[in-house]
Amino acid sequence: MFDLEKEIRNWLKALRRSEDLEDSDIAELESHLRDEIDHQIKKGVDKEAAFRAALEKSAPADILGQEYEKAKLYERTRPFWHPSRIMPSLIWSYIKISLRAIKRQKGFSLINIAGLAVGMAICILILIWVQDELSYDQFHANSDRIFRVIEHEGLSSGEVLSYTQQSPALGPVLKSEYPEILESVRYDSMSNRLVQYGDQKFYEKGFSFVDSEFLTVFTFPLKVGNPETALKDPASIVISERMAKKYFNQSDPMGKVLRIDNRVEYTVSGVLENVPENSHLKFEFLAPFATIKQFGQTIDGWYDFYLDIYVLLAENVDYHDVNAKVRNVISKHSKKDSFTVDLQPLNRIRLFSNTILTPQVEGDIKYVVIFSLVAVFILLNACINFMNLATARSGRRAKEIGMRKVIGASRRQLIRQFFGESILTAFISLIIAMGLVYLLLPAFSQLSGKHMSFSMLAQGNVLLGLLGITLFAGLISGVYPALVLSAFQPVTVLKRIINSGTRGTSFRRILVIFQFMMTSVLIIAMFVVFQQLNFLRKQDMGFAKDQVVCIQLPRDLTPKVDLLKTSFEKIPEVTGTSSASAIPGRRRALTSLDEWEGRGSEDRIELGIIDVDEDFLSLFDLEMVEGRFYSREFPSDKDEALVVNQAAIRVMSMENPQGKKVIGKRIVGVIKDFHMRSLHYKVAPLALILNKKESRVVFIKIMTSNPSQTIASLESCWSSIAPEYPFEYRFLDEDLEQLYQGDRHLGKVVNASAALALFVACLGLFGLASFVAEQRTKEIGIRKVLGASVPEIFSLLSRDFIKWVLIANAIAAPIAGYAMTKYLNTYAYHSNLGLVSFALPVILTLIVALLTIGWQVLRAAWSDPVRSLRYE
Amino acid sequence: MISKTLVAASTKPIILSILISGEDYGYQIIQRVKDISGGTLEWSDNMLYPLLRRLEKGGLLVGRWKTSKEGRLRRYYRITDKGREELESERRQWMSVNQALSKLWKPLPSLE
Repeated sequence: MFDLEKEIRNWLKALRRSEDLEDSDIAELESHLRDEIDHQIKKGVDKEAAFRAALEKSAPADILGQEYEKAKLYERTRPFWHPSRIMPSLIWSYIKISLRAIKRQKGFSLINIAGLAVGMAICILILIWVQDELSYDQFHANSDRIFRVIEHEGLSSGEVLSYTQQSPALGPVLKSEYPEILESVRYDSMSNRLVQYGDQKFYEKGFSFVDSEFLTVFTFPLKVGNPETALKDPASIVISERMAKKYFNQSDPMGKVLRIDNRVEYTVSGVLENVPENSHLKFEFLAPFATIKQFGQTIDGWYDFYLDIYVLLAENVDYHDVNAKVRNVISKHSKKDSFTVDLQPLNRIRLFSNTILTPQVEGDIKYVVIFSLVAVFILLNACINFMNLATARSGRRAKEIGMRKVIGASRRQLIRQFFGESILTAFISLIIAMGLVYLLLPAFSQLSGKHMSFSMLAQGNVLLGLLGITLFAGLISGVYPALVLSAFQPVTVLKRIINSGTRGTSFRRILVIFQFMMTSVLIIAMFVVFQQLNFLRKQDMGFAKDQVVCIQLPRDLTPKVDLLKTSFEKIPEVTGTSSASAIPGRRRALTSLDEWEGRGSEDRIELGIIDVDEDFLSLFDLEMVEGRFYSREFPSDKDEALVVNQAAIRVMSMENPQGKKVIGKRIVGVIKDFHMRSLHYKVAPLALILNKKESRVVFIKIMTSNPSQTIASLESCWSSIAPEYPFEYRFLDEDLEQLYQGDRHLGKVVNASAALALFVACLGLFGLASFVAEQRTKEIGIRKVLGASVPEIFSLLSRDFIKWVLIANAIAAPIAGYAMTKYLNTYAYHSNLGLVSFALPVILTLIVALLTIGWQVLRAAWSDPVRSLRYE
Repeated sequence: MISKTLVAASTKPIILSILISGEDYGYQIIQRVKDISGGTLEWSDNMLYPLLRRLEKGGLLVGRWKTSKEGRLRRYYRITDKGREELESERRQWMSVNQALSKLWKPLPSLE
């Protein structure tokens, strides 16, 4: 009996055997078959005949399978022998091959990964640093609406001086006369206030006087207290958390009374969160502005320039428009008609203030750019190592590439494979780099003078930066292998027509030269900076700075200055004392001078002023070029006489200065120029005024083999006269060292980066040298058999490298020369670019290069020719 | 009898043209082609179904399973917008070939 369903099941079974038919296809074919059978039955035949007829019309299972397969292949719109674009099943294979390649070439992978890791670690450190520099003052809620008022003064020399210091009257005027300016806040910071609570007394830095709106304009959150009212009361003070802890420990600081300079009392009305490190304003105490009067400053008037003013603009106001309006505000209100004013955005203060004469500028956009460039340099160096080694060793991979191509890999696939490999290496390096960063961070914090923590890495844009650095390194390193290796012709590769290693020789040469050029530039920079720092240390400042003790003098003690001096002089080790308003080399008051005898009607100069006593000349071993210094023999000197330096005479163009009238006094002597400021600046015009009432520092010259004992006697002397003030002293030479702290930071960073760049470059050279030695094993064997000596072989193998290093140095010299001249010109006084600065790097790089390749090359040269000739 | 290459070339436009008037299933498509061509075009299942699969993957058709009145599961195909565009371009190509041939053959009655 014919069983239709059974027959259909059998038919289906046959179909299911075909790999190319899917269940839905089979279901559809079954449906078709049944339709056909029905059709036949309708025509009047029996089931069996209908089934046979239907089957006849339909193709056998294998033919159907083929047809479906063809259709499937056709879908891809490419011939079936081409591989598909993405083969997910191969990804694992790629990873395996990459890891295997890394494992099999341990030495080279080590060089690659170590180099990349070092490069990336440097990049990450610098990234954190740059991020921090750029984040300055961004934490204020109104940061885009806050501006600092800058004032410009044109001198007759054509020079324009820019200051941040303003007069107190300007603040309120800005707010009341310009509707765009919502608030204006005056700010002045005094260092070395004596703060007392109970029996605790400390000199404190960061004692600032501000208008009461300060806390609402800026975002310095209060932990305790109300920012709107905290500074309204004239006897109130806001202190930082740090200070609250220092003075009050656990107890509640609110309402407690602090005594400043033994005179002025304030009641604590608020506790601030500690000021963030990335704030250009740094303070621990905020006192109401009006109380600055009690510390000897005027709180009104147009002629005393000492404080900073910040303004808050209304929303949606373009500050350029405001700039145009406020430009002449000073000349409108005062006789200072040469002054103009404009606004500097808050977020530019940190990095764009180097042309402004402000008490301290630490940041500079130049450094941000230079360090970023250095980071990129070092990373590039590491990438170049990767490229070099990859191309040099391309022969090793050539067979693999040929094989892949023969089996059907497309060029695109190979490119992707090589990029994948380099990116994988980069990611492995990233992990190691993170470890390095973790280890290096404390040292780097110290080096850069900035407090940095590992947690800074967790910021969004830093993480993005990390990813960017990794991909950059991976792509740059992979680009040459990916593009060149993937272009290999399988036939030539597999027939060994390509001699592994000769490929890309010139490319490698260029890369090595480039690498060493960058390194050489950094080394030259290192030498020049080192020389300059040395120069700064050794340079004669024009005054005697050794064995001089400086003691800051609180204002209250100025009447006692003579008493102090005489009692100090009684100590046998003390050879002299003097007092002045400032420490030489450190700071000075400035005034713009437009009144002197013989002045041209438009002349205006900048004149520095220091108040001194009669002993100033002898204590600092200064010299007079003309006339005399102040003397006790002339009691009228106090009111009538004036001593100026040579620079002042020069800019005032005086012929016979003696007796000429300047600032209401007559010149009695001209003092030889000495450096009142750091050597970054030229010696500026300076007037020394005999005025003991402005004494702020006492200088004590000592002659002793036991300084600590002398200091002890000075201290006992001090506390017998001024027991209410703690005794704090500094040595002048140490104090002056601080002038060049920024320069020393720069020096350290340059040293570190030059050393790292050299290290990375040598890593690459080492790899290349060992490769070359390996490549030429047979050649060396033959040469040895024919009688070549070890030195001959050494010179044969190292000749190329030496040539490259020399060429690199030759290219580096002019670049470094240009950059270093620019650097040295930032100092008014600087060492000269000697030949030594250029010769030393050449010798250094050569020695290091030779040492690096030496072992590899010697090993090759010493090797037993029998072995090497057998070597394959 | 129509040559194999010509059949192969014409299947796609024919299928698309049939489906433009509404959805249909494989067996029915074969029947309609046969009727329309007066029996000169007799498609086999091993040609049609793989092709339907290909056109579906290419996005020109959408298929779905439906149970017919007789209780048979059938896969019905519907033309998509992309399919319509494809048909339009096919139509233009066939028309130009057709025009060229018509012009060429007109002065040659001897061909009859």
